[in-house]
Amino acid sequence: MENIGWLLDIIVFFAVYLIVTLALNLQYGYTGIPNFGLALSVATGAYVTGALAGRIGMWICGVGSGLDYIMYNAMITSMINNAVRYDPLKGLAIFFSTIIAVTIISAIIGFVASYPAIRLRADYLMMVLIAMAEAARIIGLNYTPLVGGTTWVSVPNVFIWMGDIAPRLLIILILAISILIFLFTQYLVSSPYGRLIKAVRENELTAECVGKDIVKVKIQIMMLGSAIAGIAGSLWSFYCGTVLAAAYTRTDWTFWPWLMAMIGGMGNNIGALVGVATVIIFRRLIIYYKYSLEAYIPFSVVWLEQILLALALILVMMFRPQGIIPEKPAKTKIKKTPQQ
Amino acid sequence: MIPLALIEDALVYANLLLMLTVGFTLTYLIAKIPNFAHGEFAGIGVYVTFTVAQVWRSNPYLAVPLAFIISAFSGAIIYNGVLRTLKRFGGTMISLTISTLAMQIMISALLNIYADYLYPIAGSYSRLFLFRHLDFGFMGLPGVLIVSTIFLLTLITLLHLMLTKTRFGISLRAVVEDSSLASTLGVNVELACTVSWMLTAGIAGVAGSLLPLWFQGHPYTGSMLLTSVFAASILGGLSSIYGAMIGAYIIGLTEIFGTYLLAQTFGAQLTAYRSLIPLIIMCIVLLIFPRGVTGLIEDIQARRASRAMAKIRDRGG
Amino acid sequence: MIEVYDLNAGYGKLHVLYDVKLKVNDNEIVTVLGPNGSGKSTLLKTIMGLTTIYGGKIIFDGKDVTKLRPDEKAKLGLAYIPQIGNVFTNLTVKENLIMAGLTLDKSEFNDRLEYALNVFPFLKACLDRKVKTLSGGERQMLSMAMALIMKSKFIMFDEPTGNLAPKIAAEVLNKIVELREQSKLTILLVEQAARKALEVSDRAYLLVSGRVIYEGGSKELLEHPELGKLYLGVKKL
Repeated sequence: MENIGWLLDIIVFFAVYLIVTLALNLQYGYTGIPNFGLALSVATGAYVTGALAGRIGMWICGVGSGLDYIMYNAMITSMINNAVRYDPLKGLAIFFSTIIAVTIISAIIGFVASYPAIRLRADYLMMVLIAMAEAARIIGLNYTPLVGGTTWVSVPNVFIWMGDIAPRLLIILILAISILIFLFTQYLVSSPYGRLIKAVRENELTAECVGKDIVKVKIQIMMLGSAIAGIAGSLWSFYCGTVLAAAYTRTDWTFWPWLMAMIGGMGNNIGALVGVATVIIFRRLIIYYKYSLEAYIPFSVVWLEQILLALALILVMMFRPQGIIPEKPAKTKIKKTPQQ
Repeated sequence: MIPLALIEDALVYANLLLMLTVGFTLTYLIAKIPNFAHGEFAGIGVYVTFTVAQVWRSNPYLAVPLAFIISAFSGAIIYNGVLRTLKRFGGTMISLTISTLAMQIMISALLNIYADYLYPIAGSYSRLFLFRHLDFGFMGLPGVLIVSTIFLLTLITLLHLMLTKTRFGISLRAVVEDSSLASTLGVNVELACTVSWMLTAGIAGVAGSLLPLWFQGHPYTGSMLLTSVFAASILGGLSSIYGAMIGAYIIGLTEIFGTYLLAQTFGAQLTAYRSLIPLIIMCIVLLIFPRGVTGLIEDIQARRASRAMAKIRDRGG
Repeated sequence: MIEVYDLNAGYGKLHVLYDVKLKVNDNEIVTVLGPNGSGKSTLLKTIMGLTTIYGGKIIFDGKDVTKLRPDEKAKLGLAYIPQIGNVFTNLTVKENLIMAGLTLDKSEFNDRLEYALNVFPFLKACLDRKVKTLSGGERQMLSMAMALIMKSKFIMFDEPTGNLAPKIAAEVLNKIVELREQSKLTILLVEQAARKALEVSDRAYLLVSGRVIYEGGSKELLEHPELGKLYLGVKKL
């Protein structure tokens, strides 16, 4: 049973990054909005989880009142875990209310972050979003009441009532959610709305002439994508059991997903699947062979990964910009007219 | 009473930011894309100074010309090696921009590797250092303030003269407006672009090389400065380097004085949120006058011109 | 002076010119006519090197210049005056003229500048004005002035009479003939105003849908009873 530990590890990594990449694909692949502030949405999901899950737990389980959540975080978390151990409903309540809060707040953040530049050229949008993602990290690192600043906060183990298999079941749950989101985005892009966002990507002017409010569509997609990426951040936090502000870096949660989407093929969700799997397997290989690599390379593997990331991005763009699975014209349902 | 040290902080920072912003805006005008790796040229400068001052134990100002050369060289490599090659493979604006992001990641990694490499020689100092004590003083002012101001004024003057009086400068402005027409008239557009990339990278390198004489240097200096550079460029209006200069000074001074005021009013922990100030200014600019200061000036001039035309019409009629 | 064989070219993947064969002899004025979208502008741009060439050759003064960059061709004496985008609106008039004289040395440039300013005296007053403050007609004259300054043996004009008033259009065409006479230039002209262009040129090509369907003397074409039908591609020769 223990042997599949590493496999489950890969699975949860895959599931979480799949959700993030699907969000990115929705924003850039389908709608043409280059979002280089993806880490902002993921971080928002994580920070909201770190800030709220425990506090909701305090309220629902009626423990730790009067105590500062951050200062007594470890104690409060174990109190919540104890309460949930014998009361699955409380655990589920914490979990779902957190996810709902994450979805709403991430969507709002997606709106706020994109609004200043959404009407302007893509260059402006890229600059603003990158800057916003940096700002989120700084706030997370310094505003201690949020997620403990440079230390971390713990996230209650909401499935502790399942006993020993709780971590495994959480992974399965996360995988299931990622599949649901996959199906949802597939449905979305095959619908008339999917045609609309692709029209926005292809030719904004034409879409506008046909009377579609481009800006509204873009804002909707930014909010939706942000919400989805936020859910990923939240699920990751539940899995890790902690939220560390410094961990939500640009490299990990913006650039790697971009590479995954590009390698797999922008503009189609199957491509996202392939891309995520490819990159994760590759990164795992680097981690496992870390020690033998370090014998040949005179520096830390961390930097090697970054150099490879940069090289991969450039090479993919030069030689296979359409990715492993290029986008095919989508089949959307034709509306039956009264005559038919 | 505003402390002298704060004014010095603000001026040095604004000077360095101006050097970076002018380069960033110039590259944007020439290449039509934002260069996300621009901050890293400064990062290179920072570590050239570290090497010269800490490893070779020489006068840190010797690092300035060396940083210019190394950064300029890196700029040439990025432009010719990456961007031109991508263009040949049919790169779009977005993919070129992504490649600059990739270069930012790569140079940042290389700087980190270099810092790690210096660890045995310099200890943890290699990842966080400050060389104020190595600076000279003149009439009570820190050397870096004097040097950066002189460099700045020289830069602005030379740049202005080059762009308006020399054939190369006029060709450059022509390339910015219409590169195929310029090519038709005999301008080697690729060469012009390469030279301007080298120039802007070199200037960024100089800014980076002066930085550790006043502010802390570390491997992430470049990427941390980038938000302020964006804000300054956007405030200036991404269409003019003179606007970039104004934008940089406004952002630079606001960032330092603003942080000081916030810290005085709300407590010292607010200094960590310093980079939110340029971000907020950036958002305000984009929401209210997205074409920046340059756009505002152009609007005022246009209004004045149309009013003059109206007067002529009225008089004639 | 210039010969083009089997030229196939276009923009990226969009194939516009098919097997174009064309020749302009020294000191000739040759016109390229054709309906809208036939590829006339593309032909000029291709000779200059601004498009994607799929196949064929361009020989200028005996040299194979097919693969050269536009600025290399400019230095050899090839010039191209586009229909739009032929002046730099953000630069001053003087700076535009300087750009035109880029391949000249100082004294030669000063001489030609004086000549051009004498031909278009109104420019003397606007030397320091930005071109965007000039009217359309004035800009067109500026681009002609630039053509006078350029150090070229061979100039290609793309619809130089464009949107000009008939009087100014006639002046422009006269200047072009002058260029041939006085400066011994060779000229390739693309025009929509077929009659006027044929009146000033020696030979003509008719380009329809990217192919050359007629080549001959201008006088013959002018007197051709079915010029109109040929022009629209209805009748094939």
